[in-house]
Amino acid sequence: MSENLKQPLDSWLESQQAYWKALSEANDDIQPPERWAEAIKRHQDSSDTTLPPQFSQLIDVLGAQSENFSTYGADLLKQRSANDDEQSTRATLKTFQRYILKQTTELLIRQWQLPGQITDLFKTHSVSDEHLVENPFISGIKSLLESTATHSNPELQARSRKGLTLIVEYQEALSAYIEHYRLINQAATCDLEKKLTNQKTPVDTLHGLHSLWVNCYESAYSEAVFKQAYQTAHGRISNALMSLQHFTQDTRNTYWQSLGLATQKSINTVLDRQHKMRKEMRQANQQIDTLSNSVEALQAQMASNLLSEMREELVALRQEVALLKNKRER
Amino acid sequence: MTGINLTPDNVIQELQDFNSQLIKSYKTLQHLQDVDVGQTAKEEVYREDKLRLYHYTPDGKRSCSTPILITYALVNRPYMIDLEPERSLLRRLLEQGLDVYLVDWGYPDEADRFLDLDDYINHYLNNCVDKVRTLSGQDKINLLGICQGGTFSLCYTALNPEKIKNLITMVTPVDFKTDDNLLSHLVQGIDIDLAVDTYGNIPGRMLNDTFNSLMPMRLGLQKNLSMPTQLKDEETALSFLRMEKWIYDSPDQAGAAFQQFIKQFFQQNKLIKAEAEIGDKRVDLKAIKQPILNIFGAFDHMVPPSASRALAQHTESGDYSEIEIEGGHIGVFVSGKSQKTVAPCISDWLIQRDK
Repeated sequence: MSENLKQPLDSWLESQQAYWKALSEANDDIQPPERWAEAIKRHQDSSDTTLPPQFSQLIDVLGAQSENFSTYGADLLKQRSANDDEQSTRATLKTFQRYILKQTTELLIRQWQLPGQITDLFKTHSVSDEHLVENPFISGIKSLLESTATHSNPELQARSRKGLTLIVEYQEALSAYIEHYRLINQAATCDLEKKLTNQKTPVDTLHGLHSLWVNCYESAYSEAVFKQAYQTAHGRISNALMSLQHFTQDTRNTYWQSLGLATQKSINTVLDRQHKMRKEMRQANQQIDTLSNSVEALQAQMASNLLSEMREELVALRQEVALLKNKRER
Repeated sequence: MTGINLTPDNVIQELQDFNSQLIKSYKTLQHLQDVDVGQTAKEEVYREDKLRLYHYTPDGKRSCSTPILITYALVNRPYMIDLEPERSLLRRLLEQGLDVYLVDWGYPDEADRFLDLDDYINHYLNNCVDKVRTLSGQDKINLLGICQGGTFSLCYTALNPEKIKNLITMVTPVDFKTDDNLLSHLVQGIDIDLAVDTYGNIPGRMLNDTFNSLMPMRLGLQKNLSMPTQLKDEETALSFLRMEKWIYDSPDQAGAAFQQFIKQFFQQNKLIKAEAEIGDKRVDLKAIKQPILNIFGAFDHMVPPSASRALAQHTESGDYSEIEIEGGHIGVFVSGKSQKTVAPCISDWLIQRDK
């Protein structure tokens, strides 16, 4: 790393330290310093070296984690300076739960991402939002499903109806799935509180608190995921998501077809045929190999038989010649 | 509640330490160029479509006259067994004097969507086995299968017993429906036909997400928080990054093969019922009479020991042995302890049966 990059990073570290110190002294007026991810991005932009993609992705992950960890730390410092010990411990735990819930939610969102166009429809509602399932948009869709569509051709009506049904199913499946995560979080939190109350040595580091949480969470998670109800919900959300994706592809294919373009379906048909032909060709080649081996063996056998016959004939001729010679000598 | 004692000074110090480590991590990454894996010298001896077959020459004198062919899973890349010189089952096997061949299935693309298990087992694997037989001049070779590759090896050996001398399975699922197999539980409710219809080839990142979801917090939050420690200096960073590279280097799965594998093996558990079909051939594990060495990890969360141990009851091998390694699915190949024990065990076992 060049010196011109080293110095700004060290300054960033110092400004972070000053910020936290101020927070711990109940000075809320201080502005938070630049975020780590932003600081790194600025340095990378001004640097003449480009990091390989794997490293850049890793820095993004580190940046996100730093953001979460630092925000939590800052919230904690603000609370600690504002409350007494008992209140403070309760508040610490509450903040921690909020911070952890945010990360669990982010994980869920990443895992069950919808196709782009459909995601846009839900941008105003997060998965932790209580209006997620019965929000005005979904209610509107449901009432649309119940009404008779007019001024539209039957094919389009059927397609719209199917799409809307799939969206509703996706929403309901996601909601049922999120409910399992809510229960897992709840069980993990109860367990964490129990452990914190019962253990002899108090947790005195943020990492220690995280480790304890991870153990509690994994234990609650493991208990839930082996249950049929969770597995059913997991299957349902997976299938609902795929059905929606499949529907959007199907819609796109229909549109392409109307423009006279090749669709995914037609490409698949070609690939399938090509694959079957390759198999047939392979089998044919194997048969040819087997047949040529048989022919070779047969030819070898015939040649060998012919040779034996000739040998026998030669022996017989020799014997005859020998006999004739003997007769002449006599 | 007295369980938390986070003083402001301690919190500030910890946040400060964390951010200092972040800076160090960034500096380390700035110095590193590339993450090199699979460094052991090899020679490509066969190729077909995207498949490659590599030969690795043993160090010093050959200890075993029969070569060993290693077949890895379609999921993830085979350099797991050659991550870095110090963590390389492959190198340890060569040090034991074994003559090693390795199948690399490659990265399937759209054109491979219809490749099925018949193509992978009856054709590609069979061609690799024949190639090794030809090159080594041996009628029968030793076969070592890892994870899904182990399941393939079992199918192959059952279908072609005349070509396999000894069979080794590592972290291999055999009974796919044991109670403790979380992956299998999660797969039961998935509509695989719809999945393949939707995605064509199954994206590798989807499988990664599934594997990570088996222990979401440990493999997510906790791993991320400990990352700055892993990146503190170049040596530990390289070691960590090699593993990360492997984890996220997940080839897409050829749709048809994935569909058949999930349905026949995970959802219907056909392997142990002698009902699995590869092409037009039915797989009966009872056809396996070869000596078998079954190696698995005691703490494997992907293929629990119970799933591997089931093999003991389903073949006709009169010479069956098991080795349980103190490790997880990957630890069996890369942990410090496994580096010392696994290769010598395999080598000794093969040498004893190399007559």
